[in-house]
Amino acid sequence: MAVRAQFEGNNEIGVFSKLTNNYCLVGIGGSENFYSVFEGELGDTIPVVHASIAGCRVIGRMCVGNRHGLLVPNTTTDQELQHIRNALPDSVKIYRAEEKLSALGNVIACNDYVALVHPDLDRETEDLLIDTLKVEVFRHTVANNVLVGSYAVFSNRGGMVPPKTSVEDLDELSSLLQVPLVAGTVNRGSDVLAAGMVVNDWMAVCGHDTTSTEVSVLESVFKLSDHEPSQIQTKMRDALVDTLS
Amino acid sequence: MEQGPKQRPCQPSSSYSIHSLFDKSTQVLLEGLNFASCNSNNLTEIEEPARSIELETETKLSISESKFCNACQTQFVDREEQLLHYKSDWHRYNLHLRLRGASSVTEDQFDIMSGDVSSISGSDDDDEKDSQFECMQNMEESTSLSDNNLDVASPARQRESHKVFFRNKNGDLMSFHRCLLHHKKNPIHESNLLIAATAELPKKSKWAVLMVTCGHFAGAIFDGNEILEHKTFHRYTVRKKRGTTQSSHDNKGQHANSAGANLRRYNEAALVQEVQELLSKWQDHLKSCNFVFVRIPVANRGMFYAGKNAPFQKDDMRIRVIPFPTRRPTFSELKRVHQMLSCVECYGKEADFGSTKPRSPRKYFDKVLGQLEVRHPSPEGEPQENKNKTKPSSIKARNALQECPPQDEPVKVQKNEDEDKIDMDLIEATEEVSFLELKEFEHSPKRKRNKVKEKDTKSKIVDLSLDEREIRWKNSLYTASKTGNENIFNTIINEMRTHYKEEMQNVISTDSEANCESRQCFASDQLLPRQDCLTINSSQNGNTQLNQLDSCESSLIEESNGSISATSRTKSDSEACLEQIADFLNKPLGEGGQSLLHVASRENQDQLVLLLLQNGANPALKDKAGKVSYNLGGSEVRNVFRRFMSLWPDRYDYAAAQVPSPLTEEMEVERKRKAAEKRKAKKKAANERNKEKKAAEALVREEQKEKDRFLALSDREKRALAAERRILQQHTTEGSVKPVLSRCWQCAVDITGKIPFEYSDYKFCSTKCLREHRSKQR
Repeated sequence: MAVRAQFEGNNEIGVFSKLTNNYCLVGIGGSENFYSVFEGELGDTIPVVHASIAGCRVIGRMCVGNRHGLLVPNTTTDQELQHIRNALPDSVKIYRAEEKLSALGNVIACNDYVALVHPDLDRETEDLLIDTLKVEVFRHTVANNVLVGSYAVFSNRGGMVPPKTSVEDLDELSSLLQVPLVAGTVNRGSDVLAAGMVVNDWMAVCGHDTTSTEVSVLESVFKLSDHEPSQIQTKMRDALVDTLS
Repeated sequence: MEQGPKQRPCQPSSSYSIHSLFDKSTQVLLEGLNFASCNSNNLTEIEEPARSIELETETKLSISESKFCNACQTQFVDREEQLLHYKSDWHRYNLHLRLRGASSVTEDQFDIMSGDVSSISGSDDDDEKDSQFECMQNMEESTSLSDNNLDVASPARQRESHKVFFRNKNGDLMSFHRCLLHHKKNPIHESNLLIAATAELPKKSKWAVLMVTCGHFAGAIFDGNEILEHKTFHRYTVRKKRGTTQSSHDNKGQHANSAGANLRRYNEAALVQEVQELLSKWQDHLKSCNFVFVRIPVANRGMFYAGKNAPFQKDDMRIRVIPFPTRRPTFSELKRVHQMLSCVECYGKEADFGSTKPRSPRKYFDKVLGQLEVRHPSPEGEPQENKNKTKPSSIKARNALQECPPQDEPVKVQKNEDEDKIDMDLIEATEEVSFLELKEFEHSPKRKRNKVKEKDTKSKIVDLSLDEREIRWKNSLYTASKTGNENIFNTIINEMRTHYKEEMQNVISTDSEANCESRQCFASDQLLPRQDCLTINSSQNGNTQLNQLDSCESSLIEESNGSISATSRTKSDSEACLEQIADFLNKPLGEGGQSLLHVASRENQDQLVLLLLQNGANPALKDKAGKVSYNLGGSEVRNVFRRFMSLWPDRYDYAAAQVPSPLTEEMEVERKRKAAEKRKAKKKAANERNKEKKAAEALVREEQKEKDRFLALSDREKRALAAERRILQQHTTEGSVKPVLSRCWQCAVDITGKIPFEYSDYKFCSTKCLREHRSKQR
């Protein structure tokens, strides 16, 4: 299911939040409206944590993480790190990355198995990614843009890339990430996908401006729809009909 | 990405021309119309791209099996190889190349280039590579540029053009606005129907054009090129800067209740009513109109279509939307719209264009002639806007502008002006050359302005030399009045005095010359205007001009009477000097328009205020906020003002300075005496109050002591005491003599019913007795 939300009138909600299968980080806003959207949807399944990184609210662009771990930039203060450590489950490893490209969220896109990274990312950070997040790392671009973390968004079930991506690139990325990909937009035509939405394996939150067409596209590619044809209706149907007759 | 055949809009050829639909000569052009080929692709290809996108999204929801790197053009056998490849420097290098638009290199090429450097650090940028691939990049850029052009052009093709192109029997290509041929709701695609509709057009000559925006309404009814009716209104409905009409603001749920909002609300309703009234007046015309062209925002549509007696029906097929941008609805804009719609554009031979669509050049509406003009782009590609900015009022004016070459201009102007202007205008003629078109409109007010300008520049030159000193004076006076430093103030004032005196001497010497000349003028019974006097005394500074003028004139009169004395002159000089200092002190400082007196008063520098007042600083001056200096200060400063008023009651306008009343010595003494008396009385009252308070406190203390003593007694004694009291009470009520139940052990005084002082069973009337008893015991 996809939910629309807004952070203090801003539709770029991917900037202010980080959603994974194991936890959710939410930027500290002036009001609790944004937080309560996440809390309402996820509260009873995974921890939803208020966080800031280096005093900034743009946590979605600063850090990168998945089910296994979380990488924060070296500008993160000890106090912030301690707070995140206390709030997240013990199974999640948290590390500070000494990376020149410190907005890790902009340069790394990942799910629980693969990560797409900026071509110029440090080798050390790459190793840290492999160790902490337990992912395979691919240095690549999306639609001729090095900020893969901003422009591409994918979960374990599917992914989206900006509409400018060529068909060949889409094919290549899909084979790399091993998830089905489509080209699409959020927030009424914004191609900065990761800034406009956050997604995990069972829910997505996108900006308030996102049109219903965009929502339906992302629900279908991330397989979030409740009415998705179940296995019984698709693959097992023939066999069942056979036995029943 | 979609790649279509290259199609760029053609430049209009010189054979481009526009004709009015209703001219007789145009009829010839419209004979034997045929559908032009450049229309055809528009009519068929509209829906294709959308379908292809849909197909894509449906098929894409699967994981690709292709193990191929597009950046490096390599195929992988398995996942491991793929994984390793994306970590390699070769891949990274190719990615960088691709970002720059260069083509990729093979692994071998890369190995040769990188030499024996095993790994390029992830965070290093190497300039070497940049230079190597610069030429490649340039090549790539040129190709990508053409690609971009294609992308830009393609969306325009998908939309139905608002013009329809035809070919006449001579093979000329011409176009009509599509909105003339059919309504948007029932489009015509068949070419023969379109041609038939075109043939009808010259007969459908009665048009109405109605435009409404932002509280402006303009409407006109045309028959051919003739205007039958026209009317424009304006009502204030849109707030400046915020924009949007009041109703649309109200509809957002914020109902403003300001006077302005109500005004706009009323005006909106009034505009609707006015327009509807007008349209009902025009009803006969409107009914017979063949087309009604409208430009009206969605929010205002109700004006035409809503209500009991709506002027139009919504499904009226005659109503067409104006298919191009329009400006504010005015009468001339209406005429422009009508001309634009009714013009038949001829592009020349169709063969020249082939299947590409011709682009018409920009057309400008000449308000004076009421005609559209075509402006062909100049061969050098010089932007048309330059010409447009000058906006010549008529063709004649423009021709005149083009005829005279720029170098001739100054000469011409000078010639014209020499005849009716005095010599000082010679200077300004060189400045004014650029406003050539204003030449014939130049008249006296203009000249006046120039004179002022000249005077300004003159005074500016003299000012420059003085500027520095004056700024220094100003600064130090400001600091003095801010900090209350009298010494600085006095030194500056002295400096000013000496300076102005020196200046006076100079003036006197020049005056004598001036007087000689002016006497001559006087002799011929001519009144000397100030201006001439000023031009003679050319070496004077702007500040002193007025004074000099006065002194000059007064001396002139004296001279004519034949009685001029040196003493009176020096006296007037010193006065003038003081006046100059006062002028300087009264100059407003900075943005707030505050004078030095304001500053000193606000800082409560009473001594400085006094000094300033003595030196001629006017307390009646107001700052920008309209405050006088009296009101800025504290009580002490205000007293200074009042004291000054008592000493020099006529020096300033104290009513304007808002100083309420003078403060004389006696008044102050009297006031002091009164204050002292008041203080004394106050003290006395306070003393009495204290005494009373003390007495009350003593009582309370006594009581407290008594209580403490009682509490110190044992219960048995308390009971005994109570019994004693009861007996006493009994006896007093009975009226008999009080019995003595207990006595002091020391002085044998009756202590019946009183709380005794005691130690070890001995009871006493007072502590004194107790102490004596104790000392005796020892």
